[in-house]
Amino acid sequence: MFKEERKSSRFDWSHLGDIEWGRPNLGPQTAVAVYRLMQFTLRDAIISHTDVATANRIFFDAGQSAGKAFHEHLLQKNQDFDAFIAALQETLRTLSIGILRVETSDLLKHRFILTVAEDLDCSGLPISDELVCTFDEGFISSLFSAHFGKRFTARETDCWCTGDRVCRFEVVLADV
Amino acid sequence: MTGTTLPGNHMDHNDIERLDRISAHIHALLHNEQPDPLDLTGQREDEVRQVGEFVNALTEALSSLTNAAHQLSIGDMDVSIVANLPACHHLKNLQATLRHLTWQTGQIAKGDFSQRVEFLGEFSHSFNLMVEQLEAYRQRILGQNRELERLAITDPLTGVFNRRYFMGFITKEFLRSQRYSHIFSAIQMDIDHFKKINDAHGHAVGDEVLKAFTANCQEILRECDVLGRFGGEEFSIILPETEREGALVVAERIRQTIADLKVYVDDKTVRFTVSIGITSLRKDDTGLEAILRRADEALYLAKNGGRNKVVAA
Ligand SMILES: [Zn+2]
Repeated sequence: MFKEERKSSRFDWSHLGDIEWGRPNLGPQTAVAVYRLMQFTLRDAIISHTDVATANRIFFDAGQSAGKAFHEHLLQKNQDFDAFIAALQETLRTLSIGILRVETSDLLKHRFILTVAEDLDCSGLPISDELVCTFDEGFISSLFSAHFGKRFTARETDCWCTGDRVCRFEVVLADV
Repeated sequence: MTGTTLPGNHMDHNDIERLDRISAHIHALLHNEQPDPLDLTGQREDEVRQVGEFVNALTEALSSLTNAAHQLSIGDMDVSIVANLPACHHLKNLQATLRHLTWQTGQIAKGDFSQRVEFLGEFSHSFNLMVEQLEAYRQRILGQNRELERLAITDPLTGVFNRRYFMGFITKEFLRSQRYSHIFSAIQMDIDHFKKINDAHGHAVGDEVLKAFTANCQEILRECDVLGRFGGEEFSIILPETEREGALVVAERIRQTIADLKVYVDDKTVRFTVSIGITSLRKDDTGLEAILRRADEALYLAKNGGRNKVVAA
């Protein structure tokens, strides 16, 4: 299940386990620092073993699997775009992932600009002139792909780490 | 800038002259002027030269900040805020909020009244109040429109459909039945001696009779049947998907119910009857007029045959 060799994603929501049953005393919450400890040590190790480009690809792909499962399990299918955004905003907020806001939504050209404030991954990190939210790029792209039933890609254009106060993502149809 | 020690007693005339230029430069900055870059060339480890470089970097950042703040203040929400001063971060935050606000306003214009503004203090409060009130107004207008529509198609006294709506409905029903070979029946009704009721008891009682009549008809009819007031005491019914036999049963039930009915107004008890003519769509009916004429003729026969009767044509 967890340690079998594979060539493509086999992630399933059930891999997250029954948290309520497993943590009767500690409950489902943890600290943001713990999440970041995992994310940035993992990135560190992957880069050490491979290279930055590989690390980025791994984070993007993992984000995509996460987005797909997230859409399947936490969002409703077949909603209109406004309802999808409203539900996504609500869910991201409830789970303390970030404050999602929309700056542009062009449903004809399929082009969207979103921002995430107080982002789980990067808000408060040291300024490094790097766009670090690669996982989020994969996550957002597959959320949009799942919603529209077409392949989307998301690119981070501003990040806390580049000196912005929000992460800004441009979401467009992927080249087929 | 930490680590830089300002020159002490070992300053020469040249250093003092350069410090003067720094003072003048900062003075200009503080007074909102745009000074030229400071020219403080000197040795590599020359502290005064370093101060000059810091001041120049700060000048550039401030000028970029000023420009961004100006652009934002005149509504250019896409201005790029490049300087890395704490004030720029606040400005970027504001920029993101304004860009989202712009999108939200567009959404509200489209009719998405679920949008709420955050992070803009009192403005958020007022804006959200505005959206809530807009939505409340919209709901009220929608309600009024529905009421106006209802009034436009109903008879104010009895609440059944008026002649105009009824004619529109029967026209549609006729076209539908032609296209899909569906059957329907039409009923024409006239309250017997209605003028006498009015003359004997007054119009108020007459009105109560009309109301009681339609209320009792509605009890008998199905949801899909349509009852309309054609004129004074004349009413019509369309029974979709109903053959002649079915229409006869309905008409007879109405006749009997009305014949048994007692209407109490003040201390008076009024009894009345109704004459009914019915017809159903025939294969050779080429127009609506033929059906209505047949129903009228049947009603005429019912009246002439002694009233309180159902006649089918
Ligand atoms: Zn980011």
